[in-house]
Amino acid sequence: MNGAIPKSSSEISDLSSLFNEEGLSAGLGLRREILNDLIELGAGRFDFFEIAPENWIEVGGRYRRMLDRVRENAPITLHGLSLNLGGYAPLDKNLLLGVKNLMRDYDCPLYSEHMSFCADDAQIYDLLPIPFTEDAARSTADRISQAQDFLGQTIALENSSYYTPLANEMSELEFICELVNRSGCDLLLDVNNVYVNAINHQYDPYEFISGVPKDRVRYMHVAGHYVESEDLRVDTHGSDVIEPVFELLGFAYERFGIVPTLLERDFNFPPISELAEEVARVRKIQDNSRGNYE
Amino acid sequence: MSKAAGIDTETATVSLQKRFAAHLRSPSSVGLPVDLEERRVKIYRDLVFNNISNFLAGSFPVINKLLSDEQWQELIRDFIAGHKAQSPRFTQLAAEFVSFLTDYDVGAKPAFIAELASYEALEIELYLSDKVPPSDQLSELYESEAALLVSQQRVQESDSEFIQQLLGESPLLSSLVEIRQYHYEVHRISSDYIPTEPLEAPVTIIVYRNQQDKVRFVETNPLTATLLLYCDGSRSLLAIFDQLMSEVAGLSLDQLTGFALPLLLQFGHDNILAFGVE
Repeated sequence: MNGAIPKSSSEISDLSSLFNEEGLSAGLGLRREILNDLIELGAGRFDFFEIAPENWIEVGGRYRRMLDRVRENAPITLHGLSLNLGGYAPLDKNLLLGVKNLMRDYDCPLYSEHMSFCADDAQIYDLLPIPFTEDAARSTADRISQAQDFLGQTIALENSSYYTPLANEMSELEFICELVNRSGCDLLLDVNNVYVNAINHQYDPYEFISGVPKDRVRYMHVAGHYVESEDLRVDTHGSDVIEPVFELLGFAYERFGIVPTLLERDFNFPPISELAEEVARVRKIQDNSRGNYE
Repeated sequence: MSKAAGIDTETATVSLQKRFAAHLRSPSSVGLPVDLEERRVKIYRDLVFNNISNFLAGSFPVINKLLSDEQWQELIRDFIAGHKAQSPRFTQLAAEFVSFLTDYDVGAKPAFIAELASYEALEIELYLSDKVPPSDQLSELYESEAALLVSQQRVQESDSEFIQQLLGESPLLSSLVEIRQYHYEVHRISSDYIPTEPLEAPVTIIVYRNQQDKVRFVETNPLTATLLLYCDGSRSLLAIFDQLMSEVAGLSLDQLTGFALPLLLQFGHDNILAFGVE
């Protein structure tokens, strides 16, 4: 890693366990709805799975036993929803403790979170856009550092999809760079979000990706989205990944190298074999990008 | 950040976030923040509402089914606008909803929805619980249906050695058991049974998770509930019976042995309590 030295005592997360023998790495978002199918399918089709800690902290019983079985087949990463890094209420240390315990129990190499806020003085349970202001960058970076210090390792921050900016003192990309420079965090590049945001906010997705700090992208997401109107797309995770997003993914690998990439599917589930094919497609794009890495 | 007077001042960024959140919580009473495009903000309004509505509909299927669409939407709107949910965990959203309903004015909606919500949430709580039930050293006495029948028969036939053995044990209520009293028969409510008046005397319900990880309920009475709550693993069944006899006039050891002991064996069979704890 040639990036800035993290400004905290946290270690850079080691994602080597997520790669297969061929040096490729593609996983699937784990929802309760598909637990049974995944257990029946057995090992080999997915290099890793990702769960939302907010659905699993202090969960026991049948679901927990099923998760234990899935973990026997592949490693698990954590993708948080409620840490509220872009908010102003005090950071929830109990949630971070729950995350830490899950990471220990399942030996998770990565915890990622969103570049958004999800609460005022109470939870709203949705990802809301952080105003792109100097103030917000300072405060969000500080909260990321607090979380990294608590966990003792870096967090990967996702470029969230958004439908309206709340403030535009700086661009989304400038805001992301500020956060990385100030907190030393890693990045989760959600390629579908780049595509959706590029349409929603009229920028070039390729230019955007070319501007993302090169050595900080450790992990990626792809997903399908919903066409609300010609100039407005909603990041729903309820349909197949479209071709232009796969093309953008290939471009991203050429810039950032092959990093573990996760297919998100939250509802409207096709048969598990189709999800496996979509994930295999990601692996193929990774393979094709070899040699093209700048 | 503070003024000389020591009063916290809010940055423009935080004010903007507060205003946006307030609008999403209560679109009809808090206007759109200036400069934002209506159709874009609408996406957020819909996302917030649908996310919480879908989640709660899945957690409270009976309430969702009994209310009209308008009533359900009003309820969800009121929850989003009025409740300060503290838990970041989605698994706690049902509990947040129950806590919201405890002092919610139901208006024209059925008066029992707070109690029904508490009951429906209990089922989820127990299903997801990570509490570990006590391991039972005496489960062979009642684990199978056949063993249970034999044990109950020995009690009914006054097998005094067996009865003495049981009275000497210190049974422990499982950590996966909740005992509640309700003023409506929440466990029976459905579109075919919609009570309009509260019961004359509350109903007592045991909700529990068994070894197969299924959540079950059984209706009981206040005396049995008291008996179960005394089963904390620290005192013998004989001591517990003594205590009940001192509290309830006219209750004899023979009565307790004859009625309560077979019932407790049944509870052992159901994983509601463990007789043989170390």
